[in-house]
Order: sequence, then C-alpha cells, then structure tokens
Amino acid sequence: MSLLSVKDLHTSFFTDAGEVRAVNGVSFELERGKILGIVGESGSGKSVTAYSIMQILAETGRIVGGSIKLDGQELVGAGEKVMRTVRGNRISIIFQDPMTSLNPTYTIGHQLIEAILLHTDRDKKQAYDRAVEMLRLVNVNEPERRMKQYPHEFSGGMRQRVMIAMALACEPDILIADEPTTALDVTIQAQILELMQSLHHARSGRRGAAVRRDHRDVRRLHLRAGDGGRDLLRAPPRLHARPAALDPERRERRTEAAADHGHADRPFEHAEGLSLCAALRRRDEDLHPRALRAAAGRPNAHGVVLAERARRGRIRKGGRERMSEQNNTPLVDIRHLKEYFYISTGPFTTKPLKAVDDVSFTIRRGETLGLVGESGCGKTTVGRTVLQLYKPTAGEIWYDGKQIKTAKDLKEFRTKATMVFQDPYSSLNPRMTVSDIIAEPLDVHHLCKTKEERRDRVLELMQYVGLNSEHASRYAHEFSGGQRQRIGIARSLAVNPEFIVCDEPVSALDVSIQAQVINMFGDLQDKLGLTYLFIAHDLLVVRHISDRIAVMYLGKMVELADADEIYNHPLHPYSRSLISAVPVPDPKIARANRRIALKGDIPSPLNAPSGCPFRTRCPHATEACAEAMPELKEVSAGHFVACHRTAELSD
Amino acid sequence: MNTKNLLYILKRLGLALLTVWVVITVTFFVMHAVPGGPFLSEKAISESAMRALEAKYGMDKPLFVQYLTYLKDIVTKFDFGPSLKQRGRMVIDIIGDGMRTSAKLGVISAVLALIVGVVLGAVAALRRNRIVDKIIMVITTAFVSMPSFIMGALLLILFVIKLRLLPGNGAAAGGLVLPIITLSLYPMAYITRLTRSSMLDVLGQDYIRTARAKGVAKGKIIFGHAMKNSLIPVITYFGPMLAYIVTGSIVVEQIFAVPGIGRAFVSSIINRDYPMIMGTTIVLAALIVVMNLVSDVLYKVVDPRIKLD
Repeated sequence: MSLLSVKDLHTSFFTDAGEVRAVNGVSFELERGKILGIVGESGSGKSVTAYSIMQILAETGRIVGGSIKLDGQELVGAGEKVMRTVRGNRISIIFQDPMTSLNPTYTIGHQLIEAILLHTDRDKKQAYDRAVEMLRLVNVNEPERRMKQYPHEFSGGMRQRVMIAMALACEPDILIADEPTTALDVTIQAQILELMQSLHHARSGRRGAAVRRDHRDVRRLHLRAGDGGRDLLRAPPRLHARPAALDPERRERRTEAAADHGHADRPFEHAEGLSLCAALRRRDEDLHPRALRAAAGRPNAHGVVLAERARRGRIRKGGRERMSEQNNTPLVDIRHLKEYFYISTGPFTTKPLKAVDDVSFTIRRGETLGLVGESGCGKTTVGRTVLQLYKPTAGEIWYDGKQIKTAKDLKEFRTKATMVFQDPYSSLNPRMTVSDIIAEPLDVHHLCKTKEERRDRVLELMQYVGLNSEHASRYAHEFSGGQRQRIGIARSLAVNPEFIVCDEPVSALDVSIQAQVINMFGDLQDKLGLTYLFIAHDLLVVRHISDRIAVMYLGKMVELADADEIYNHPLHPYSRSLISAVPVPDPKIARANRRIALKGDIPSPLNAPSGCPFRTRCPHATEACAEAMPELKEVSAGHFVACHRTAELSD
Repeated sequence: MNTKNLLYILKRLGLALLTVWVVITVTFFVMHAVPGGPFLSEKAISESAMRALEAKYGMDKPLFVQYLTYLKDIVTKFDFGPSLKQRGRMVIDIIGDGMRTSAKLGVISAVLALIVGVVLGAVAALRRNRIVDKIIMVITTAFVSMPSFIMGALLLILFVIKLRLLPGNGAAAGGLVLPIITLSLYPMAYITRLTRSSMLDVLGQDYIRTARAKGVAKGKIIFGHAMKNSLIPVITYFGPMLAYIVTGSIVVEQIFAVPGIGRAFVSSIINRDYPMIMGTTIVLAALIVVMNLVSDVLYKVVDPRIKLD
C-alpha cells in the first residue's frame, strides 16, 4: 500500500467572482522512500495540491471532492483535530519563500522548539537539544548562537535551512517541498538541493513530494505537469533522472516506477507539458518525434522553435553575420566604470557600497553581450549606469566612437539606447493606455509631427512585438505578464534604437512564456539589427541569446568570453560553479557534470573581502588571493579571466 | 537592554531636554510679546501700585534678564515661581494638584482605549465581513470622525441632562466617568481599525501558514504568532495617542469642569498668569516628548528588526 494516495482531488476557491477550480481531479500515489515531482506553470495548481494535502488552504479555499489517504487513513473531512496531529508531525512542508515564511518576531530557536514540543513528549530542555541537533544537521554553523537570533539575521539560504530543520524535526513520513529553491540565488539553490539530496539519502525512509515550477531541477523524478489542475503530462523519470551520483539500486527503483505508470513509451501526452520541456531542451535527439508533431501548430510550440534555433546556432551565427557586416569597432565602449552608493553608517559617517567597481567591456554593433551573476553582484547597476540612469561615480561611456559627456550628448544617446525592465508588472504606468505607454518616448523626444503618424507608429510597434493592435486603448492590467513585457519591449523600440539594455526581461515570466519572449528578442535583432546588453541571473536564458557572456561577482567582472567558450571551458572558479549549477535535462550529460556547490553566502558588498572578492567562497583560494585583486587578463583569444590561479586550474 | 540601547535612550533623553528648552524659550518670548499682562484688569490700578507689583515679581528687569533668571531657577532649584493669580500658591503645587486628577483621567483613558481597541480590532478581523465586523466598523468610523468637544457635549446632554445618570461636574464623585469615555473613544476607535487591518494583513502572511503547517492550534496562532506582529503598528500609534490624550484633556477638562492640569493651562492663558503658563507648557511638552521616547523603545521590544540608533 502506498504511503500517500491522492484520488481525484478537487479543490476550489470561492471568491466574489465565483468558484475558481484550482485543482481538478488530480490523482497520484506516493510510496515510502520515493520522491515524486510535481511540475507546472504558475497557476497550474501545484501549490494548491500541496496545501490541500496539508489542509492549510486560504480561508476561501476548500477541498470539494476526492480523497487523500495517509497510510490508509482518510484525511479529507477528518477535521482540524486530526489534521493538527498530521501537520508538522507526519507530513511537513517547506515553502517557496524563506524570506517571509518565518515569524519575524520570534527567535529561530523558539520557532524550532515550538514544532518539537507540539508533536513529541520531549520537555523544554530536550526540545532545545533536538533543535540544536537539527540545525547542525542542516549545516548551520554555531547552532547554539543561532538559536537566539531572529529570522532577519539569517540570509535566504540559511532561512531555508531553518525551514528544512523545522520540517524534519519531528521525523515526518512525508516532506513536501513547495518550490524550495525558486526564491534563492543559483549557487544557494545548489546548496539547498544538495542538502535535500543528502538528507534523503541518509534516511532512505524519508519520502517527499517536490513541487517545482521549473522542472530543470526535477531531474529527481518527474511525474506530472499540471495545467488548470489537470494532469497533463506523465513522463518517465528516465528523461529527467537525477545525476548519477546515486546508487544503482535507486536507479532501478526509478525505472520500475516508470514502468508502473506505463507511459515509458509515451513521454509526452500534451503540448502544454511539452513546451515546458522543449523550452529547456538543448539537444533535439531528446525530443520525441511524436512530441514534436504534437507541438506543431500549438501556441506554446515556441519552445520547440527556440530549441531548434539554439541547436543550429542560428541566433549566434546570425549574430556573427550581423557583426561582420559592420566594421569591427565597438558600438558601446565602457571604460573603468564605477558606481558607488554611499550608505550612512552613523550620523556623520558614510561608507561606499561599491555596486560596480572598475568594470570595462565593449559591445560590437549587432552583438549580444550576456551579463550574468547572482543578486547583489551589480549587473543591474551596470545596465542602469551604462544608460546613465545613475550618474557614474567614475569611468567613461563611449557610444559609436563618441564619449557621452554633456547633457546634449546624453539626450541624443537616449534616442539610440533604451532599456527593457525586469518587472513587467510595476514598470508600466497603470493609469496610461498601452498606446500612451508605447508612445511616451516618441512624445518626449518629439519624434512624431502629427497624431496620425504617432498612431501609425504605435500600431507598427505593437505588430513588431506580436500584440493585437485592437488592444491599443486598453490598460496594462488587462494583459498577462508575457504580454506586458511585450508592451515594455515595444516602448523600448519606439525611438528606433540601436542598442537596448535588457535587465532580466524574462525572469518574472513563466518558463514557456520566457521562451516566446526570448525568441522575440532574437527575431527583433535579426530584423532591426539591434545590439543588446542582456542581463540575467539565469544562465540558460543568456546562453540562448548571447554572442559573448560576462560573469560578475560583487561588482567586479570575473570572466568574459564567447558564449560557447564560457560554457565549455569556464576558467574562473565562480563561473564553473555557476555553470555546473545549470540543470541539464539530459541525464547523459548531467551524469558527466558534477555540480560544484559553493560554501557559504555571498558577502555583503558593504564588507567585500580584501583582494579577490570571491576568495571567501572559492574552493581554490590561497593566501595570495587575499592580498590583491586579480586583473582581468586575456588568456586566449577573446577569453578574459580575473583569477590568480588560472594557469594552474585550467589543466 | 545592552549598553547600546542604554546609550540610545540617554541620547534621546538629551534630545528631549533640548526640545523642552526650545519650547521654554519660544513660549517665554511669545507670551511676553502678546499684548496685555497679568496685572491689567477692568479696575485700573495706579501707576505706582503696578510698578510695585512688577518689582515684586521681578518683571521690571529687561526681558532677557527675566528669561535667564527663570531658566536658572528651574535648573538650580526646580522653582517654577509663584502663581500671579492664585495668591500665595506656587506654580509647582498647582500643577501637582492638577496632575493628580489629570493623570487618573489620562492613564485610565489610554489603558481603556488600548485594551478595548485591540480586542475589538481582533474580533473584527477574525469575523471579517460578518455582521459583528460591520457593526464595529460603522461605529468606529463615527467615533474617529467626531471631534471630542462634540462627543463631550452629546454625552453631556444624554447622560447628565436627559438620563440624569452621571454628574456633569468633573470634581464630583463619579465625575471622571464621562470625561474618560469622551477622551478614550477616539483613540479606541482608531486602535480598533488599526488592529483590524494589521491583523488581517498578518493573518495572510506566509509565516502564519508555516505555523499552521507545523500543527499549531488556531487560538495559539492568533494570540501567539499573529498578535505580536499585528501589535507593531498599534505601538507606533502609542506616541501620537498619548499626545492626543494630553491635548484632548485640555478640551475635555474644560467641558466637564475637571480640576486638572488642562483646565489650569487654559485659565492661566486667559489670566496671563505668566509663571503658570510656563509651568503647564513645560509639563505638557515634557510629557509628550517622554511618551514618544517610550513608544519608540516599546517598538524595539516588539519588533526585533528595529535597530535603535
């Protein structure tokens, strides 16, 4: 008998607008010791499924049908009293956002001990010892000191460790992980996944359901994708198996599980699920021919197109062609750019926060330079400073052979260089119609003489980005996230720019929408000969679109090279760990790449380490690294690295 | 409380002294700049008598010298001088008597407003959109929008004149009941609304879901996890509330003839009783400054994320 059995689960929310069916007949079995992955885009009902199992739905939500059995015991309709003995005791959950999931007014210790006292017979002293033991288990240093601290004194990754410790404190039978790494930085994600893997490994009795939006990480065991609460995709774990570091017995078990589901020969049953996979797939041999057929003509088939383009290197080659048509002089030339923010540390003292510290690079006409790094590395600041939305503290910005110095230069520069912002929800004025939003740059620079000209230009721009021109008089809130980002892109194209800074333009969007929007960036580049500075924390996204990629860490550029070169031969230890953290859907490749999990958190840019900023987390750091910041040196044609130990490490 | 917090409090107390000094200085000179004086009355007194009076109270000296003398007496002897109107009484004694009544009025009003406000707010939040919530919201909206002099007059008409249940004189037995109600209704209604909205906000937070997922019982979630967080905005209102009660009591004491410091303040201005004006102003200013400091420190106690600096 399976440990958890969900049959035909229906959960609805009863709102003023009527009933919203969030989960519509989901069924699955979870066996002791197994991991079940649930994937789907936002709004597909993954989290609601998890909350239904725990019965911690919001006030308006209710399970309206189906059955949830834990070890044969029916939980639907079992009542609060029974559920309280289940929650935290037999089934635990880790939530998506560790920043908000801990109570800010209680110490970490209090919150851990509370969970232990609720479900076990331990007295306060024993509960304290258990809490310390749990913190040690999830690798929190100095657990006794940490127990007395409040959540705001912990970083995101550390808080997620506390959540895991809390969830496991009462030895639950099932651990539900609701997108446990989505809100974290790439290298921290790697740490948390590693921790969860090792915990699962150490206690093979532990079982869990992982809920993920982005199924690149559900290599562990991928069962289904949800859409509007229906099961859409049942893929065998074979395609998404986790990296091989695990014992053969486990692999066998997985294969059995796949056979049980009887879908091993039919990996894709629905194009919606397919687009998710295809958007991320890099090698077309992974694509089942049947899946390709199923995807053809569907609105979400863009993902396949993207995969195809990427495979044939069309985006990249297109870039080279575009560049070779022009002479090789750089369009954008950034020299020793510095941007310091002064943070007050006392009534009369300030301290510089070196958001960008001596960064130089060039971008040729028609080229796309990808800029990656984790949060706080200064990539967004670089983007904004290049366009002089922030006044640079020091450094020169040259555009098309001319330095941008005076206000007049800047005004002219702004008609050639524009920006696409990260958050399509907050970067559009809710009080303006789409046509006014798109036309605003035209109005600012007085580019349209007549009303007709302005209207025609807006309609043309909307067409470029694939928006229905009938919607010009609507307001931003009437559009979906992907459509809003198209509006933002249309706005950035309004002045007919040559150069666009794209500041994480897809990170707020769902995976399949990301693929569409990235594709559009590629198409627009081909059509209009644009030059991009493409900023992202997601390396997969950057790889698809970039000709060259620069990696930043704590305000410094640590590596710069051709996109292929940096993926195949990353030299800086930080780039290596970032690239190793990029999940590969193909187990054959995944097996070959061991993930390099970095220790510790990203230091605060206010207290950056001396010398090489990366040395505190670098597995290869030596004493010399603490003394001087390594220079960005060219090690092979077009490949720049800032590391003291490049020569020794590259072998 | 570690040394850092202690230092903070000392620093704030220093700033409070500075504030009070500014209040003294401004009040002193403005008071003297206003036409009229303590010895002017319908019954004209002779030039020589006037001069004798002024000499007796040191008012014949230049204004700046008077100011320095006043400051010196306060700092060295804590001497606020004699009242010019209530013959033979010192300002400090009059204020002391008034404070006894006013403190009773103010403290009871504040405690009442806090307790009833928080409880009603929590009830309204937990019964959101039900009939109880709607009644509470309608009533509190009315109380929040009604000034205390109108509220006081209405209560006076209802309970004293029509129903004859309570005395209208603040000095009589049970005379403080109506002033307390009048004074506490506004902050009570405000705190109810504040607690309701912050409670609703907190109940929707992720950490409440975490507590539920741990298996914590509902009552414990509300009174443990939710209450402490939802009190944070209420505590920020603590300072302004006490300021309201101090200033509000001036009006309310006048309406109900309560022999408190508020009434002493008003009559001292009407009488141009200079030392009395100074004394009451200093006390009221010091009260507000100190109460704001208390509310800031309390804020830190409830919310560990706040740094005192």
